Amino acid sequence: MARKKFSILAALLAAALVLAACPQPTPVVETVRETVVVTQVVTQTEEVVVTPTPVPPMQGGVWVEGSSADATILNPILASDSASFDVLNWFFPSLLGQDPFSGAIVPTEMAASWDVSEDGLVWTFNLQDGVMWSDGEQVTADDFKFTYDAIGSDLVETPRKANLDNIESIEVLDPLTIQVTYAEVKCDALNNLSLGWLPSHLYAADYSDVMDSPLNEAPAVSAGPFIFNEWIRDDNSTVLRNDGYWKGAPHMDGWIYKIVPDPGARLAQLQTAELDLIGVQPEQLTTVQLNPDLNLHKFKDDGYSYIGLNQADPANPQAGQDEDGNLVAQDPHPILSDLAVRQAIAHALDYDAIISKVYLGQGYQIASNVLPAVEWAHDPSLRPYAFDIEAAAQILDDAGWTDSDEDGVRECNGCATAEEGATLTIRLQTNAGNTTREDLGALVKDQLDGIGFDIQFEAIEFGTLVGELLGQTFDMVIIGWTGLGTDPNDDAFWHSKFDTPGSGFNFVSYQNARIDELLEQAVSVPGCATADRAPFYHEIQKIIHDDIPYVFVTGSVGNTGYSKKFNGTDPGPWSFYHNIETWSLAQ
Amino acid sequence: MTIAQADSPALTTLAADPQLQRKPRTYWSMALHSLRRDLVTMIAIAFLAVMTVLSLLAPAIANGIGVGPNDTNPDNAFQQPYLGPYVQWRTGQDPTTAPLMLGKSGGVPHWLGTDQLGRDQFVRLLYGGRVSLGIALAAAALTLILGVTVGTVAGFFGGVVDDLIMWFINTSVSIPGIYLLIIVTAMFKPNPITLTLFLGLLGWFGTARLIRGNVFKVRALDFVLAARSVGSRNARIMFQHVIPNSLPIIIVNAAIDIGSLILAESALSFLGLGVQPPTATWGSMLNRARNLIFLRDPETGANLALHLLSVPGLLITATVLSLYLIGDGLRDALDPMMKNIR
Repeated sequence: MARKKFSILAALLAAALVLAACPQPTPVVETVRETVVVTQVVTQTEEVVVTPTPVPPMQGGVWVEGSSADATILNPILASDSASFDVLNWFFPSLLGQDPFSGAIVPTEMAASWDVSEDGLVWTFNLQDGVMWSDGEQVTADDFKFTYDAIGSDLVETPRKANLDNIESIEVLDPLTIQVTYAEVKCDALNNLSLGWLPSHLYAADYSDVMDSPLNEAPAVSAGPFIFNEWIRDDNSTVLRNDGYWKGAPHMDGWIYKIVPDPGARLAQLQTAELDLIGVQPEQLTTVQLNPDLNLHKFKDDGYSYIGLNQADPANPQAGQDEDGNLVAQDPHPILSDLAVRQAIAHALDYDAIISKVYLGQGYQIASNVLPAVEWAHDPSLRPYAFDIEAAAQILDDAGWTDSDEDGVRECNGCATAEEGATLTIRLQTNAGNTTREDLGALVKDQLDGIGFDIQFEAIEFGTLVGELLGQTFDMVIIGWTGLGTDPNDDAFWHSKFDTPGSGFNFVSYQNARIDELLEQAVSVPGCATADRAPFYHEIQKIIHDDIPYVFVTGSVGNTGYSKKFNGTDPGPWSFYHNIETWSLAQ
Repeated sequence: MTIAQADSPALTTLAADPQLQRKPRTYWSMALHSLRRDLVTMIAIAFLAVMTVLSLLAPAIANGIGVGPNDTNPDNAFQQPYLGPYVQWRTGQDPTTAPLMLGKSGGVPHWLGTDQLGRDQFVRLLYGGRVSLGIALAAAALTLILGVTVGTVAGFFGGVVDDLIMWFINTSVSIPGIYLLIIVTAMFKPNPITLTLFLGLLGWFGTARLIRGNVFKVRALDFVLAARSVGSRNARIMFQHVIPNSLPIIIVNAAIDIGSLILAESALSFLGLGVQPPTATWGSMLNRARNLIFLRDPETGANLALHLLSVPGLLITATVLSLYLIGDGLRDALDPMMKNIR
């Protein structure tokens, strides 16, 4: 009896082992059977029927946006979370508009035009006339001044205090003219003037009620396309059409912000038309795409993922500048300060596979530090590094990194930066729990090990990782930037004055006097015209691309799924609702 | 004696009875005998033995297949298990699918498919088994050593010693275990050795209580009194009498403990607090697959990653179930009261 059972056991084991060595069919590599789609451009002459009286757009309808988080406060200078701004942006006018497609600052909001003094320090804004709060008061320069003075007031606690940095004075020349004087020219500071304006006639002149006004929960007046109606916390907010909106009253009746915390539930409600718009998770994309009643708006977001390569010796982190602003020479990183190694890494990664498999297709390869979403500053002529293992291996061979003992790991044999015989061993870290980055790390390790690196990959707790990053004690790190905004100024990542161990964001210790100079020039162009600033950013991108302090992995992509209920939707990467007043119900 | 003389033919008949002629059997041989008759337990033991041996042989098997646990091949991500098409190829039902799959994977048969990076799931499961089973076994051993020692001391000496130990244990147990583990793993970087220590050091309280209760019972039995009366020292009584009499409980408890520890390790990995990638464990494989449930092929609409969720999930379930069944079977086998010898 026992023997029989043991023999069964043995047979099971044997079967399992034999599995590894049983006869296999001859592998057949599938020939590519891609159908080549030939598209022919057919110029269609559309017959336009000119009717004497155009059909008026359908009135009515409600748009429901699904969100994971609720607003916290409906005051434009106290709010700091995106959910609050989703709701309060309907009510409060702002000085500067933003192009929904390029992200550039445009005179589409309260400022109809502006003049800049010769030295670029004094800005005079001419306001739109005839813009009314919904209670009949006119929106004037006083509202702007009140709002910014409130931010500066000691009675108001707000994370927006930094918006006043560098502003010397704000003066109201007349009800429709504002003059802002800067201490020095800083072009990215212009965005600091885009906050929503408070209705000054409803607040105490001494700002004493800004913090606890009932208006922060229920903004009574609006100068935007919708008027506040109701806010039920953690459930929904509703806003109704503002018939007096200066760009023209919307055709729809109202807009609802509905809180649905679970992503699966949001998708289900989008499918049943309970919701009209949700942010779509990568794994939900197919469902939205296959649904004929839904549109998918895929846009390039203002963030990217990268592998940061520490240029300085992690054993001895040093500040990039001394107190007088002079460059301090850094102890170079024994391996990563070698440009050839960085080039080899950049060439050794299969970006297409990374984006399609690790990021599930939600990304796009980028060449340098300015994203295409910032259209005017992005240099489209720069090509990302190509995946080319042979080239990567050749670069390492030429640079004196060869595998002389044939153990699969290269050693320094006449390389530029490391000691003779040192192995090509580098640590690679990322934050644990981020499965995408963990996958990327596993893939990078395997691909780099394949050309003779010895990558020590570990996923560590986020706080620990940030400690190593800011402390500049890491070798290579997989991380990303998000929320870069519409201005291309990212001096915090590259300028040597931000190479401060313990706090600065230039934790890769990138030091380049030319880049420092360019970054400063690019934000101090008098007038701050995008055409004048763009050449500086083009040169910055070229240098960063060639120097490879970061290996740029992928730009972030956002996905919005929305219903086809309304005609006229024209979403841009920076704004979905920019033309909402022209939307009308589909017939 | 008088009875035998009075009725010796009856005695002869009795002596000839085959039931009484067999060799006297010890407690352990009886337990083994009853275990052998328990088919469910034997299957569970067999399953566990196969899993253990396969995990131990993981490097050899990986070599045979020709792929390591962390070898990526992004072009061949989300390949479905090769086992089905292979069987169909062997039986001649479908002569094309298997060779095509082999061609796509560069000649490597991915018996249980590949994950999002094109890594072989079968090989990763085997390597994961080494970690998952290894951690569970080592942690269970630690639990047993601590639990048995502390429990025996507390139960045997009683009084102030017992009070102090039980006070400590009750305080520790009143902290929810999983939170304690989460705090500890957040403070220290989890790797297989630290994780084993955490699980072992935080898991012995239950065992200690159980042993203590049993020691209380055994301590009051006559043979302990007898041993004491002939002058045996405490240590001798503990090792000779008390612990051997607790062995059935210890063994049963160990089997169930290992199962719970596998679950604990999986739960921690599932929360992202276990052994960190790219090291495979069953829990972390399951955790990674969780995000991919909804992933579908844009063209065919077919689910891409169900095999990444179902196989590790089933494996954890089957292993833990086996351990519980073994524990249950051992309890039956080792309990003289439940013995039903025919």
